[in-house]
Order: sequence, then structure tokens, then C-alpha cells
Amino acid sequence: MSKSGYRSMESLSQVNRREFLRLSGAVSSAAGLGLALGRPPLFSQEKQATPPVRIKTNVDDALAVPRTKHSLPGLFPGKVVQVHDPGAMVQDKPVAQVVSAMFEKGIANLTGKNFADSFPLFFEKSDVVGIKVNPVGAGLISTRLEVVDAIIAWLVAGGIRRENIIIWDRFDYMLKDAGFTKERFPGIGVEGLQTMDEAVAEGKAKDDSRWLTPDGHHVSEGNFDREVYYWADAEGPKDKPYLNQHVFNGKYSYFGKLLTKKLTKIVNVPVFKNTGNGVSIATKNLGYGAICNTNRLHRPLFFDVCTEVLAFPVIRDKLVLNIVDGLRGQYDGGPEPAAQFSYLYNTLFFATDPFALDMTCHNLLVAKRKEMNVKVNEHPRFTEYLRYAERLGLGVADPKRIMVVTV
Amino acid sequence: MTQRVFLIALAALCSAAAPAQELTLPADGFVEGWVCSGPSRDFSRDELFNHIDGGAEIFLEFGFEHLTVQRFKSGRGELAIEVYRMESPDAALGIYLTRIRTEAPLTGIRARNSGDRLQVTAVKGNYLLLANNFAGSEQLLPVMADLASAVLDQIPESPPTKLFDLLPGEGLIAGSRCMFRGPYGLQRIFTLGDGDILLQKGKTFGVAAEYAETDSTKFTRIIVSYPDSASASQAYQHLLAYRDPTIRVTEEKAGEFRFKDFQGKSGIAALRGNTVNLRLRLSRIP
Repeated sequence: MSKSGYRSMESLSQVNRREFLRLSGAVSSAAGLGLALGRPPLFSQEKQATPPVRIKTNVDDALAVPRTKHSLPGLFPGKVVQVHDPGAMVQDKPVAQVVSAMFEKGIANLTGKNFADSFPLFFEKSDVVGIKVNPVGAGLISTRLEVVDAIIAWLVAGGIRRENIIIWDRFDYMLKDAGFTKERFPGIGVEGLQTMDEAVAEGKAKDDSRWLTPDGHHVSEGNFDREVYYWADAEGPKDKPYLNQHVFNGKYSYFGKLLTKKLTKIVNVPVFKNTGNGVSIATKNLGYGAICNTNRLHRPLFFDVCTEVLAFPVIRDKLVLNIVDGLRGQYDGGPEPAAQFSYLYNTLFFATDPFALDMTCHNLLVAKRKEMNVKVNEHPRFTEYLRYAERLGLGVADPKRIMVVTV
Repeated sequence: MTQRVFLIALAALCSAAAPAQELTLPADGFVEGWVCSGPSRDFSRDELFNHIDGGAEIFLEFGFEHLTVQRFKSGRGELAIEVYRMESPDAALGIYLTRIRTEAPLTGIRARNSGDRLQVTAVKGNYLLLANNFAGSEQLLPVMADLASAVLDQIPESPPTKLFDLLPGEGLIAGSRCMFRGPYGLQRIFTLGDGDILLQKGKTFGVAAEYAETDSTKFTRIIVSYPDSASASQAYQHLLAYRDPTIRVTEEKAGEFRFKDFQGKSGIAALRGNTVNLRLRLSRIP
């Protein structure tokens, strides 16, 4: 079992924790579970299956904003580069030189240009670049420091100042747990969008003062931009445990000011893992990692959040590269880290198009799950959000139109 | 030498079906050099998310009651045991089967188990037990077995579940049997629809298994046995009415419908007395 605490990428269909308990507490009630997963539970004579009613969101506001040259799906729609090197991990530790060489090959094969010439395709020297890591399964399935080292080296070689590079995630304590500290990355920014008091969340402490101000506000409120938000017609519980974890609890999920005010480009560096029957890779790393107040979104919107949050210009127009750290993969048990289902994969993936990337990785993980005798539900609902993104012009989801280059 | 007694009277309060059970956690020195690392931690139903946020739902759906976690340390590493009390032996077996893939028992554990150097999962009576080895050292496997056995040996054997008797033996692929008790468990197997599509109401168990169809193909069989035929009929009608939009009915007659799924494979849903029977992922209708 993993360390307890918040996990930013909960399972597909996960119900808000308190709501689930309330419902399952009255577990004899069919209405409970029916409500939990979004369908009328009672017997009906109706013979036609009807699609569930989808709640409203403000995604149209995002789509109305004109695109830029950097808008998703970026410079290489539908292209995914997969670089494998069996020597990337030795005794379960990344070999920095090998990882660096893999990175160079990946970028060059993605762009068709040499490593150095690839840089100006994505960046200008004045950019402030945010490297979004996934620290959730610290030490097991989290973004490896050596992969981030390779990215930083490339950015610095291209002329970006170290102080204009920021490693970030939603939760500050997770960054630290996974080794992303200012000591490890001197001169580089390391920022969590918010804090959360783990001890209070786990019931080990009662003192709220580390996360709650005397006037009842989360100490991280100021880190989120009230002007830039993902709105969805669903609310989370108005209790302190939810607030500790999610900063706000209304119908608004605000984007971090780091993204709206500071970063001009984003490099997304997720890990290669499943979440239930789907994946928690490129689009979930940002979809649930760039905003607050997310748990309310799981039940009504599931993976659609990954598409709609990425449709907002604050990500759509800044996310220039996605690099999946597949040095170690996890085919089951995700999004929680699960050592027994993780394996050495020695692979990195590169794409500008996170939706093509997720579709590619999804299919690879399905194959791995079958190989490992895991029950696999291949229902299209688990990839529907990727096709939704394609319909919105954000990426390519049709495997026939995705070009996978293996190196 | 310290002893921690836990799970004493709560069982009697929580479930009439689960008799009060007194278990003692392994004490310091259960194996020479190994001592408890910090106090044990307990989690009730409404606290389980604090231990496995993102994975608690299926435990709750199966009938989770209580969890105790204790870490142990020595100069050789750190281990932990997690003892989950479920509401019945069927509930414990159900959650056990969701957690293992290819069952690989370790020697030295006197209970059904599967595991490796990282984690051992065992089931006995109402209990699911996990023994975790954080460093993953192969040399600690005997200690993990001793640790697990120290708890498991206190739990009396329960009669074998009868739930799997519902599944016909012919063609059944060994190791493929599993259970579900609601939408979270069912979702792992097949998407029949949203919510509590089979009206299990958090109580009724369903069983499933893979079957050989031809030399090269297999299909999935699901059977849910309800308390009475009226409940089964209601569940069958609910499935028909609220089936997933990708399930296209091709033929319907009293108490049975046939369909094509999203992959173009065939399926049959049938009401048989107090059971709903499904055959899924068929290459052809038999």
C-alpha cells in the first residue's frame, strides 16, 4: 500500500469521498449507487437506453478564444516518438547519460531537426518555462529527476535562464517527497500551486493553522487566479477536509497563478501508468494538476476534465511538449503507486499532441494488461475524452491517424 | 515485548454476520531483530480514504469494516502489515480476487495467498491481509511469511464459498473466477451500463469467469443470484432498459435478449429463475 494522503489522479468514476460514504452508508438503497454513478436507478419500463445528462461547463468560453501558433495539438499533431534503451535503468536507478541520449533522440525524431535546432521551434530565450512533473508515486512511479535534468540542460543550452525554469505540481509536499527541491535543482524554481496539511487530512493532527487562516480561508487561496477558471455545474462538500485538500469548494476550479501570470511555456512530464481501465498520463497530469477544487469533477465528468481543462488557452497555447517518463511503468493498481504492478520499461515518449500521446500509451498499457493477465475492459468510454478532444481540434485520437515513431 | 489487541468488539457492533474476532498483532521480536515501528493505525469505513485514497471505493463496495496497519523495522529493512476486516468471508475473498492477477502462493503461509518480494496478499475468514516489503528485498520473504502467519493463524478457517458453484465447470479457464458487488467491481469486467445496472444494491454478489469458446477464443460469463425471482426479474428489466448505449439488442424474447457490443462481439443476457446470466464477448451466438 502506498503512503496515504491526497492523490491528484484518482480513479475513473471515483466518487467524492464523503459523498460515496454517505451513499454507501445507506447501501441498501439502489438510489444511492445509481446516483453515485450517474444513472436513474429505479426500474423503468423504458426500453431505450438513453445517454446520461452531462453537466454544463464553461468550455465554450475557452474554445471561443482565437488560437495561436503554439495552440494544441502543437507543431506535430498525431505524432508520437517512442525511444527505448534497455540500459536506461540499472538497479532501478536511471542512468543519467543514457536518459540524456534518449532525450536527444526523442526531440530530434519528433522535430526532424537536430537537437539544437529543435529548440527554437518551441521556445524563445525570454520564455519562462514550467516543467509539470508527476510526483504522486514518489520513488516508484514518479517523474525521474534525471529526465528533468535532461530537459533543463536543453533549455539552458538554448539560452533560457535557470531562474526562468520552474518545476511545478499542484502539491508542494509531493514535490519534496519526490526529490524536487531547490537543493537538488539549484537556481531552478520549484513550486507547488498549493499546500495541504497531510497530518490533518490523515487525522493525526487537529491543528488547522498550517493550512487555514483565522478568518477561514485556505492559505493557498492567493495562489489561484480568480479570473481564470474552469466552471462546472457541480460542487464539492463544504467541509474542512475537502477545503484542506482542494482550497475552494464551489463550482469554480481556478487555474494556478503560476500558469496564468508567470509561465509562458509548459513542458509536461507525466509518468506511464494506468488509472482503472484508463490511463493517467499526459492529459490527466495537467487536467487535474493545473486547477484546484477537482474532486467534485470526478463523478460527473470523469476524463472529460482532461480534455476541457486543456482547452483553456492558459494550457492550450502554452503546452509545447509532452515527455512521458516511462522508465518504469505501472499497468495496474493506478493511479496509486503499486509496486507489484510496476515494471522496468526503459522508455520515453515525446509528442506535442497530448491526446495522440495518451491514445498511444493507452493502447500500449491495454496490451501490457492483457499480457499480465489483468482483466481488461476495453469499452470506448475510457478513451472517449480523447475523441472529444479531436472533435474540439485539440489533438488526434484516431489510431489510424497517429504516427508512432519507434527509436 | 508489547502486544496490541485490536478489532475486539467492533465486529459485533458492525455486523451480525461477522462474529467478534480478537486478533493480536505480532509483537516486538516476532522474528529476531524485528520490532514495531510506531503505533498501529486504525481506519474505519469513513477513514479508509485516508489510507488508500483513489482505491477505497471497491473495498467499501465489497463490505469493508475496519483496517489496522502496523509497521515493523529491523536492520534489514522495513515491513508493514495491513489487516482488513470485511463483513463476510465472501467479501474478503471478493476483494482478494480483485487484487491478484496470476495467483502465486508463497510457502509458509497457512492461508490462501499470492505474492512476491514486494507484497503478499492473503485471505482467511473475514480478513484480507497485506504484508508489504518496502525495499523489495528477496531475503525478507521468510519474514513476510512469518509476519502474515502470525496474524492469519489466529483466524479460524471458514467454509469454502458457495458463490462459485453458480459457474458451470465446463470450459472454465482456471484462475479466471472473480466476484463483484456493485459498479466498481463490475467495471473491471465489462461495461453493461452506468450505476448499479444489475441492481445489486450493495448486497448481492455477482460472479464472473472466463470460458474457452473455441481453441483460440474465450468468452466471459457473469451470473448474479438474487434473493428471489422477483428481484432477478427487476434487475433483468433494469439492465434491458438502462443498458449501455453501445449494447445493441439484436433479438429479444421473454426473459432473454441477444446483442452486439462495441467490438461487434455477441452477448446473451438471460433471466433464469432467481439469477441473471450473461455471456459476453462471444465470437458467435451458440
